[in-house]
This record gives sequence, structure tokens and C-alpha cells, in this order.
Amino acid sequence: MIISGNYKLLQGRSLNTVIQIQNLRKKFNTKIKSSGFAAAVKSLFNPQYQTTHAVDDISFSVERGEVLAFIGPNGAGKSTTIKIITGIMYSDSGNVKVLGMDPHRQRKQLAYRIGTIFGQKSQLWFHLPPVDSFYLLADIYDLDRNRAKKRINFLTEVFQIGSYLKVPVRKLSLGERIRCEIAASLIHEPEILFLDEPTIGLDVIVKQRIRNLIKTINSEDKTTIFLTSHDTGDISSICRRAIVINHGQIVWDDTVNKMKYSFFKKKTVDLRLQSPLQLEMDGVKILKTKNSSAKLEINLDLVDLTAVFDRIMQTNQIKDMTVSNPPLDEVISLIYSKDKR
Amino acid sequence: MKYLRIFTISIREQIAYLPVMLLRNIFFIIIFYIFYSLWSAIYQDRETIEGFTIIQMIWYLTFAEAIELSRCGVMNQIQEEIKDGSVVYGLARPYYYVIFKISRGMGESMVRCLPVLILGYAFAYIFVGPLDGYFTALPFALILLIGGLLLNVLWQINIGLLSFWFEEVGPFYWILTKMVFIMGGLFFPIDLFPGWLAGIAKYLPFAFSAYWPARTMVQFNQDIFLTGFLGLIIYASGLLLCSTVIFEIARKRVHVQGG
Amino acid sequence: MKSFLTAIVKAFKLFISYQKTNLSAGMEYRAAFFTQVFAMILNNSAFIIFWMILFDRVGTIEGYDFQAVMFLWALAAVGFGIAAVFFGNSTYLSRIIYNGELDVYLLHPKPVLPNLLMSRTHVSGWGDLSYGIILFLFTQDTSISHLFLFGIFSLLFALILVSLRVMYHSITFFMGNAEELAARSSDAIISFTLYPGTLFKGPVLLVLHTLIPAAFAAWIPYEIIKNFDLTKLLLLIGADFVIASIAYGVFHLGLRSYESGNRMGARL
Repeated sequence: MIISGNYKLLQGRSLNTVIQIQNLRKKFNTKIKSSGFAAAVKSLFNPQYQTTHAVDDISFSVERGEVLAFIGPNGAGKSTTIKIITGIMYSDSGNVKVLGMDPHRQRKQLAYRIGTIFGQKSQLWFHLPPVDSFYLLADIYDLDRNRAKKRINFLTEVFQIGSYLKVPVRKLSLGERIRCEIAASLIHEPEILFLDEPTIGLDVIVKQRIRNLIKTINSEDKTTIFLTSHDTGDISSICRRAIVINHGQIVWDDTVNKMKYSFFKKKTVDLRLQSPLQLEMDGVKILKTKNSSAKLEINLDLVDLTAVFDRIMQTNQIKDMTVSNPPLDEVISLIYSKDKR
Repeated sequence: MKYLRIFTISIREQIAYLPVMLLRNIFFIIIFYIFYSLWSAIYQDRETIEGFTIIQMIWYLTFAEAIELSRCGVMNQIQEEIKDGSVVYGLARPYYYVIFKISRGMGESMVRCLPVLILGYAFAYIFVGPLDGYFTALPFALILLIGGLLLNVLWQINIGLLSFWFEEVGPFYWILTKMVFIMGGLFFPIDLFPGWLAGIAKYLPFAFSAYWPARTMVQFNQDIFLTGFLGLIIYASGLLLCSTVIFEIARKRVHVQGG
Repeated sequence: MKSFLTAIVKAFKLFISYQKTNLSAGMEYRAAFFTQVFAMILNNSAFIIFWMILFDRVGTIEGYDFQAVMFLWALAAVGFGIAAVFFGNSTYLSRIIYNGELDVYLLHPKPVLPNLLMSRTHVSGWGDLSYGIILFLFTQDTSISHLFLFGIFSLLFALILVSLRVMYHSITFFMGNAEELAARSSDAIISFTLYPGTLFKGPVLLVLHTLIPAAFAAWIPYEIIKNFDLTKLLLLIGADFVIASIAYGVFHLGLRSYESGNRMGARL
């Protein structure tokens, strides 16, 4: 089990906590389906249940203005946790406070202050232009006409959706639709925005655009972002902090940067030198050499980077070099695989 | 015999929807029950209406409803195939489209019809008692009943093929079903109509998918059966011819368009 | 009191907003709308001809004449129309529960059931609504008192129909998809209400006061409009609210199990 130290408050400045979760647990009883007629009849009178611990003692907290990635493999307990935080589902035990409220008991009050985008479940009316859905949502959230108008204008500008505000949603491209979808979830100026796989199925350029938008919302409105995604690009470009959950438990909770450093004790170094490389050192593996370029893999447990460079520079000159971390994808799959219970 | 295979496959497909069918059949019992209650109230102070006793009336209705309630969905299939263009593949296959659709439609309707017939039998037997001469009349009535289903399938094919020209053909079919409804004697025998109207309605095509099969069942005699049978042959051939012509015109049109 | 009033005003505003949105969505498909309305008029007219011929033949049936049956038709058309126009989602409830779309409504700051029911309209319901009103105007006594009673009864008809659908669709919460059952029950109550209530006797009458409460939806209203009786009217309203409360209760019981995540077929 890998649990890094509790995430420290930024520079000791006391920001207020928007989500506080302590010892959260949730288990499900699912009926075991048996095949065959006799078994089916038997299970009708004496059903057999199987218990799954979807969420098994989770604690964490989120501060206002944070951008958090909440990740884990399918079935890890992510969506259960989010359903509990947003009040759709109640928990078995544990303490959950969102914006100071009990999400399940005070679901309606909480709903005014959080926004959600859940993958396939669109808020937009398929046959109508987005602006109609925006005004309907404004009414659902009890915004008065003026405030709604102002807010919609603001979002239209930020999301640059003015040109298709009046086009029926069914005629929009996926990227355009997602932009409208996010704008729709922000009509009521939520303090926390829950995003589930916002960039799934989009091309690289549109993905980047959506990521930038999310960053903008975070900096302009100080909206706390709670993001789940399988796309490590989303995580590394938007999020400062990541919580990794697996088998219903938190296996990692720290900054995204730290995640890269502390997991892979290996770095890859690309070098361009004065003359061909000649080097033999413990913890250094030469992956490739060609003329005066080389690619090395350095194991930081065995040797320091500076020691390696010092050694090279004794006999050679470094003209250019790149030190790179392994891709985040690998890091995350490593975290998943290390936690086999 | 490939059309036979199409027919049996569509029968098997229908059986897969058994639970839905069961619920639908419970609903049919409700409809039968409402009819029974209505007619037993009407028959409280009379023995016969236009020569129909209550026993004959209830048996008539269960039989006429059996045809109505087992309508298949061939028209919608054709309409969808034409709309999404997949009809072109049908044209390329080594079978004749119209006959293919008839086999399919008949398979579907007959599977739907059987439980309604059985239910109708049980219902009528329990509520008003046995019908005299049931088993003598049954084979003849069944021929006309299958003919009634066939007429319905043919109507559906004709109307479905109109999708080559019309965006939405549903309303045409609606009009047709309502004509069967009123003029075809679905809710009571045409004999209850005012005289002049009854005279016309009996020989319109709609009567052959409700009135004649059901009347053959309850008032069987040779003349009634033969009238029903003759009308069936005439209208069925007419509709078949009509659908073939429509289909050929449409096929040429598709070819001209380079389909 | 004041907060209660604001709640009413807010609910009404949301209702208007949904209607506007619904109507413009419906207008995207004008042709389909007119087709449906046309089909409905044709269908209903066929039945009217049926009743005309029948009454012409047999006089009255168990105390009902042509006008009385037309009252039932007008009432059912308007009641059905109100349900379709203003609570259109009542026919989709099973699917919404089954597909997990309930989450969307749970995340709105509004009471789940009304919010859910209002958020869809069947535009063709406007056809039923106007048809029923025209039928009433042409075949019934149009004194103010009768019009007023007819208005109340139509609303109560819609209330019963929607409650019945909610009740049967809510079975989906506990036992898997109940869509077919709910659809057939709603068909059944409409079928019964279109026939004279005096036709049905014995144990069936019990069913028609409980599981398929056609008596409360149509027959008792007919008796009241024929011979006005305030006590009966109040009792009827009471009974209707009992039915609505049961439906509301069953739905919330189901919702509770949905929120536990243990419902059948839960996809996590």
C-alpha cells in the first residue's frame, strides 16, 4: 500500500475547505444470478447476495480553488464516491461535508452551488439551440432574468460559442457540444465543478481547447475543479493534485508532479556530445548511441544525475541534453498494478 | 423453399418476445371483457339484434378482434428500409421483394394471432358458453381469417411502398385501419348499420378483413363462406397486383437515380 | 406562508419555462405534430361513429346515452391531453430510471418528481386537449357551472392518470424494467373510462376503484355533473389525493433504494 503524506495546504495559507471526507464507506449487495430454472426459482425465495466494498474507508479534503484529478481504473469506486459527494447516493458510514453541507440530506441546497458534467447525460436539449437550454437551466436554478442574461453573455464570450448559440444541438460537432455542455453547467456560478471525462472522443486540438477553458474557469471564477478522466493529458495539463483510488481505497494523494518523480526512479537522458560517448557506470544503461549522440537510462537509486554528468564531462563536452520523466500513463498504471490485494 | 424459411424465421423471432406478448394478451382480455360487459347490457332486454344472439355476437367480436390485434409491422419496416436506403440491398438479393415481405408479414401476424384466438376461445366459452357448430365452421373461418391477415399485410406493403414518394406514410395506414374499424365491422357486424350503408359496406375491401371471416365463424353457411372467399380472392389479387406495379415503378426510379 | 407562496411562484415559473422549451422543441417537428393530431382525430371520430350507430340501434345502455358517452370521451381526451402536454415524462419513467438518467434530475435544486414529469411534453397532447374541449362544447351542456366542473374533472383525470403511471413505472426501482406493465395499465384505465361505468359489476368493480381507478377518473365525475352533490365532489377530490399520495410514496420509496445504489441492474 502506498499512501503519500497528507496533502499540505498551499504555502501554509489557510484556504477554506470545500470538500471534507472522513472514513467514507459504501458497500453494495448484488444478487447472485444463477443459471438454470431450478436455481432461478430457488433464488426467488432465498436470494444469495454478494457484498462488494465499493468505497472502503476513504478520507480526503479539497480546498477552494483546487484543481483535482480523481482517477482510478474502472470499478475502483470513483463514480460511487462522486455520487456520494454530489448527494445522489447516500453512504453507509463516514462523514461527508461539501460546502459545509451534508450532500444527501441537503441535496437541493447543495445543487445550487455545484455543477456537474457527467459524460453521456446531456443537460442540453437535443433538438433546440443551446441558448434555450441555458435559459431553462437559469430558471431551474432560480436566476433572475438579468443575472441569467449577464451570465450567459459572459460564458458565451469565454467559451466562444456565440456563433452557434442559436443552432440546434443535434447539428453541432462533438467539440462544440461539449463546450456548450460545460457552459450550461456553469450558468448558476457553481463553486465546485464535477467533470467526468470531459475530453473523451475529441481530437487533439479541441482537447487542448477544452483544457484551457477549464483552466480559465478555475482562475476567473475561482471554481474548484473535480475531474475524473482516463486521459493523462487532461490530468497533467490541468491538475495540480491527483487522488488515485483503487479497490475502494486511496492509493495516492499528492501533487501530479510528485507523482512522476517519486514513482519512477529512472530518468531518460538524451545527450549531444563533442565526441562519441564512452561510459561505464553502475546505474547507467546506454540505450542507444549514434555518432556523438546517446540515449541513457539512469537509475536514481544507484547514482546521482550530477555524478553521471561529471563523469562524462571529464572526457567529453555536453553540447545539449534533455532529461525526461517517463510518461504519466506508465506512472498511473504502475500505481494501479502495485496495489494488488 | 426460401419464402417458407423466411416465414419460419420470423415466427421464431416473434416467440422471443414472449413476456411482452403475455402482457399484451392480458390487455386483450381487458378489451374482451369490456366488450362482453357492453353487449350483455345491450342484450338484457332483447334476444337478438339483426339476427345475432349474444353468443354469436361475442364469438363474432373475439374472432374479428383476433385479426385486428395481430397486425404486423411490415409497413414500418418497408418505410424504414426506403428511408435509410437499405431497400437497395433488398433489390439486389435473389428473391422478389414483395413476396419476401408477404412471407415475413404473414409469419409475424400468424404468431401474434394464435394466442389471441386461444384467448378469445377461452374467454367466449367461459363468458357466454359454446358456439353451435364451432368445429364445422372453424376450418372455413380460418381460411378467411388467414385471408384477412393477408389482406392486411398487402395493405401494409402497398402503403409502405408509397414511402418512395411520401415522407410519412403512417397517416394513410391510420385511415385504412379506421376504415376497417368502422366500415369493416370490427366492433359490431355490419348488419347493424342503416340498410343502405350496410349494403355498400359489406362489399368494400375492409369487410373482408373483419366482417366476413367473423360472420363465417358464427353464422356458417356455404353462401356466406363463398362470398367471403370470392371477395378475398378478388381483393387480394388486386392488392398484390397493385403492390407489384408500385414496386416496379419504384425500382425503375431507383435505377434511374443510379441507386 | 410567505415562503410557501414563493415556492408556488417559483414552481409556476419553472413550469412556464419548461412549457416554453418543450413547445419550441415540439415545433421543430411541426409536420409530425400535425400528423399525430390528424391520426388522433380520425381515431376518435371512428369511435364516435361507432357509438352513434350503436345508440341509434339500442337506445340507452345502462343509463348512459350518446351524450353521456361523449362526456366520457371529452373528459378522457382533455385529461389525457393535460397529462401528455404538462407531464409528458410520465410515460418514460421506467426508461429514465433504468438508464440512470434520474441523476440529472437529482442534481437539480428542485423536487425530483415534479421536475422530472414536467421536463418533457408530447406536443400531440395539444391535439387531444383541443379535441376534447371541442367535443365537450358541441355535445354537452355548456353552462358556466358545467364548464367549471369539467375543468376540475379534467385536471383530476390527469392527476389520476399520471399517478397511476408513476406508481406502475416505479416498480422498475424494485424489480427491473416495468415499462410494458405501466404502459398497459395506462392503456387499460383509458379504455375503461371510455365506456359507461354502469356496465361493470362484481369484483371487477373493486379493481376499477383500486388498481385501475377508472371509477374515480371518469364515472364518478359523470354522476356528479349529472346530479351535483358537494359531498360526493369533496369525497372524490379526497380519493384522488389519496391515489396521488400513494403514487408519490411508492416513487419515493423506490428513489430511496435507487439512492442506496442497491437497485437491480445497477451499473457502477
